[in-house]
Amino acid sequence: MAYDKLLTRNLGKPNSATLDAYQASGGYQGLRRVFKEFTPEKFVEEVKASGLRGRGGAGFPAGVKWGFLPKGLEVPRYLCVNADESEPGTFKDRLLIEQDPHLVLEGIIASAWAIGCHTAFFYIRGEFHKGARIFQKAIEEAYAKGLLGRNILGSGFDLDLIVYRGAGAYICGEETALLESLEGKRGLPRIKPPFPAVVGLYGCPTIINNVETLANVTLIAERGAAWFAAIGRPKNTGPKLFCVSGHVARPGVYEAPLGIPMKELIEMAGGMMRPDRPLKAVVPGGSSMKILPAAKCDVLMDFDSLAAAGTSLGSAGMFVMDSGTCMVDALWNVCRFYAHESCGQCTPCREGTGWFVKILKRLERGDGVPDDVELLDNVASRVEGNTICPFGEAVAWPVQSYVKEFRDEFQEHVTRRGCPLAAAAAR
Amino acid sequence: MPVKGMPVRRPQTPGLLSTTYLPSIFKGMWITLRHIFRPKVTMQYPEEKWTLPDNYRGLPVLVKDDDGRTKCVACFLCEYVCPPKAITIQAREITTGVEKGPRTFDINMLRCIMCGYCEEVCPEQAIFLSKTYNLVGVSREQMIFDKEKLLEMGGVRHDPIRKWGRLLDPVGAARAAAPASEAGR
Amino acid sequence: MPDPTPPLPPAGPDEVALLIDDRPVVVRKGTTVLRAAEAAGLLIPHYCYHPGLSIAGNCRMCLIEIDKVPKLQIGCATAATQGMVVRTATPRVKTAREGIMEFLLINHPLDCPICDQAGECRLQQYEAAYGAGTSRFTDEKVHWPKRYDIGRSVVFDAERCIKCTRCIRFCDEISKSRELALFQRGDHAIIGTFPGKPLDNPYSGNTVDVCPVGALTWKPFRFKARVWFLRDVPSACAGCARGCNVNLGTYRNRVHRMTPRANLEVNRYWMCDAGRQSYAALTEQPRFERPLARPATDASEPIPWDEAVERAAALLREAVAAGADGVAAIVSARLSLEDLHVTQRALQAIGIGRVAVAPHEEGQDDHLLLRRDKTPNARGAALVGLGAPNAGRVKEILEDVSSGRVRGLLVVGEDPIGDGLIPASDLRRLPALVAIDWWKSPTVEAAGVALPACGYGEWEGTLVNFEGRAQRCRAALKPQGETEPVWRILAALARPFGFGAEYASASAVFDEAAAGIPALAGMSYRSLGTGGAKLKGA
Repeated sequence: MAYDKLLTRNLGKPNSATLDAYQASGGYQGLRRVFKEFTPEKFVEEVKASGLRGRGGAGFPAGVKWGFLPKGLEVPRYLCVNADESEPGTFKDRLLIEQDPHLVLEGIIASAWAIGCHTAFFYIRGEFHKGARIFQKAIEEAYAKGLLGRNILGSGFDLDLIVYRGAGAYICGEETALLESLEGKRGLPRIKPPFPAVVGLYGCPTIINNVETLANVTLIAERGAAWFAAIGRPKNTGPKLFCVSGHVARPGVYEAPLGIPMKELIEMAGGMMRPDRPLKAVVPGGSSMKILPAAKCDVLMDFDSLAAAGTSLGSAGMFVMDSGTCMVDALWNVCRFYAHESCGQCTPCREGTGWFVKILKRLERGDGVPDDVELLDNVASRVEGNTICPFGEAVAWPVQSYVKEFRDEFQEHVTRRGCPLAAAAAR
Repeated sequence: MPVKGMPVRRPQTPGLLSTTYLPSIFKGMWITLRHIFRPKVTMQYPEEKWTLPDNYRGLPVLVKDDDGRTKCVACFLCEYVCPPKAITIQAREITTGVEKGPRTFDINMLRCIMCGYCEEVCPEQAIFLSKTYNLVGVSREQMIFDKEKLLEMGGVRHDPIRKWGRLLDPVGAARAAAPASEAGR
Repeated sequence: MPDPTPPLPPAGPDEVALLIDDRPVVVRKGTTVLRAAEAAGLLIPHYCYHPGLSIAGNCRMCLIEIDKVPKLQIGCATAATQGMVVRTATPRVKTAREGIMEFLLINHPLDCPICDQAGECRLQQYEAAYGAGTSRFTDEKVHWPKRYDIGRSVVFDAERCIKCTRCIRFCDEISKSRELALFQRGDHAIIGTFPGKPLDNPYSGNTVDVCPVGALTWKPFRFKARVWFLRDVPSACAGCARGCNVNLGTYRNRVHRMTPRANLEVNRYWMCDAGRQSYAALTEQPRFERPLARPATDASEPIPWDEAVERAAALLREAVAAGADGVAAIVSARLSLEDLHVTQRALQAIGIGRVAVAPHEEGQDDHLLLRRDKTPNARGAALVGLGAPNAGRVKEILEDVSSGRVRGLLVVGEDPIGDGLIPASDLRRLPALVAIDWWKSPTVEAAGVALPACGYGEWEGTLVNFEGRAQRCRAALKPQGETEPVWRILAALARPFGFGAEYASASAVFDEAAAGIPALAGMSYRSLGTGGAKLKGA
């Protein structure tokens, strides 16, 4: 299928992160068009019409989210860009920030204008030193050229953009924890409601959007909603960056329209890493999403198709596992991450994540008891849905799905008193 | 209202032989005579002593563990449960190991009814009913047994479960005081 | 057959009506489901929620089911809305609660035998009520330091902590001293202080009260008594003019702790550390138990009450006879309203016209509870006609004592020598010095006749706080030795001077005072209850 790259169009070009290179390839024309042809309200409608769904994980329509801002309040509105990309298996935002920051910046300016925000924050993950430096430089270039600051491009619109570097906590990717962190507090999720669109940063209405979402806004600004909506599948429109990792020949970020078959994506990444080891399972949306065994992998990579398959597109951090992968070990690894990153605020997640790790360690080391498999599933069911933020689900879903799809393998760890795959590898 | 009587039947008048009482006397003599030839059952206490059953409930005593630590942590459950209120405890703070222990632990043995509730309620396996039953003293004060006396009576009692093991072992205690690490994971 | 849903009661304009477990409730708009359930007489179990603190929603114990809402919601943070149907005991809710209890206990050391909280511990209570009773956790628990001095008077056991953050919120929101914070993450999260900033605010004891488990314990109370032995006597603190409502926890005729008793109009849920420890004086200061007389020799000797009263009366009679100007009284505003009322009447009967009430001030009024005025009953002294505390008048009297103008002095509950207002030798020279106090103060030792009074916790009486609120102090202890309440001592002392009134109890004294003082009109011990009442016109 012929498909012109859109989000990654400037990648690999020399000096792609500079304003000059970006403008040379037609950059900031979209923003000019928006200022000229739209009013903010109309642009919100345009984004709604494009069907753009949030690329951060939940897949909530971006235009609809913008519409939740309360009207007629005499308080500032804020736009926070969630560049705290920390979901294991996800590295698409980092690519955009480091290679094409102005594509994101253009989307930020257009979005801020649309929602009436004059101060926007770019919350970038602490580990992204390079990204933060590049983006800061892009902002300085934009200020110098009148693309940020007072009266942007003569439109009368003012916008300040502030880069805020997090300290590398996974939980700060959760929008309310991000706001707490941005306010200078410990990054603990807030109780919802109220939602950030009503009471957000410093108590003011706040919109939080993912980097890739905002890059897509640039595309809509350039070519309009109808063009955008024609890409992909109905209700799952637009281009998407897929992060393919694991046992594939060429792991990396691949751009494709939403709705591309998963198998095709694996082929794009060069197929399986080792021909003698067939596909065993795929996690399609980052470590917190449910796993699909190979038999269920004939799915389309979009929000609704994956939801129908019992999992989710999440942040499109897709990891591919071949037959040499021990599922207990894989889940142990995932749970170690979540136990380390649980913020410790609410009980089920704080205590449950640690417990998962202890059980899985036992299983993998051969000290499991038959009840452990059931215990994992049951503890997960008591974590799921009972926490303040979606972190509870982010750990409960993998546990539940790994156990459900690979129960025999878990049982085998108990009966054989250890990992059969590790034993085979040792032989 | 007239009261109606009820006739009572008396035994018949005894016969001539019975009135001499001789049959009864001989009957009694016969019983006594018979016992002379039976084995003796009287125990010559205190020269001889009874072998007590395992579940005998004598005076309550306190015990120490294998390391010589007083096992009682002064939780006051025995004082609370004691039906005749024979137990009086005062707690104190200890700076090493288990942080709490008894300053004083008195059992008024005059009050104690050896019911065994204290042993049953003890979460630390620190108080047991001994097989001691000869309780003597010359004053009421002497009958109030203090901690030292109770521990002396109880001695050391082996317990395979070291409930406070981590706190009692200096290495474990030091590790517990170390900052959070991934070691526990 | 499902029960027919009961109809919703009508709700006013600012109210909402809802059903909680089929019980209709009407509450003010904005009330949380947890509070609404309380109003309906239902307990939704909770750890992190505290009525005096902000909502944290982190313990997840108060999960409840709301019709038409897919996920379980937390009762503490969910606002009641019109027509809401809440269920607090469905199988889903029960499973969730059981799960929370299990989670809270997997890393809990279960060291109840050595834990001071045992008996009033939420973990114990809720495990019994909502827990599974067993644990499926067989791994090694997370270990933390136990018995860690987190502040002047508070000991922290990190293993017992359930991270409800009540203590943190107290320090952030109420004491505003912000010493505590949550450190680390996940199951290694721990409450702690910042380096070099221990938990030393004047209200640190409240963190112990709000702690639902045994993580924070109060050093002076540690291991003193198991809480199930304590008898809580509702009373008011006499440490300053605030008059915080308290419970005196007594066991074996001794106060072992003082804890705040909720009264939204006085102290809300809190009290200061100084007040919390104020009971200790009763056992720490040398107690004065039997009447003393100092005849010709310098050493005081115990004598029987009747003789002591006679001799005191004789001393005063002589002094008054020598000229009413030469006799004065210094009265304490730490006494109860009953004491002060009888003192006022007795002084009139004896013929002592010169009276001063001594002030005690220290520090400053603060943002929360502490008052500069350390006398708990200054308003009461003014009310009965003794006048407000006045340092100048006390000073005048003592100057006249030193100069010899005053020959007879009655000191009730004050210690001018100990307070450094007059040298002991000047008071010792007085021909007639009668002192009434509960402890062996230097003034008592200098007195010609000293009469022992009941101490705080032993007497029954009323205090009027700085806002004009009359509050009862209840007797929690048997009086030690031969001590008597001040009102009874003064009534006895004044009887030879023709004082005729007889009182059966402090309550009778209060009734007499209430009949004579307009601000107290209509009040009685019964009407004061446990929360007290504002004076008329206050």
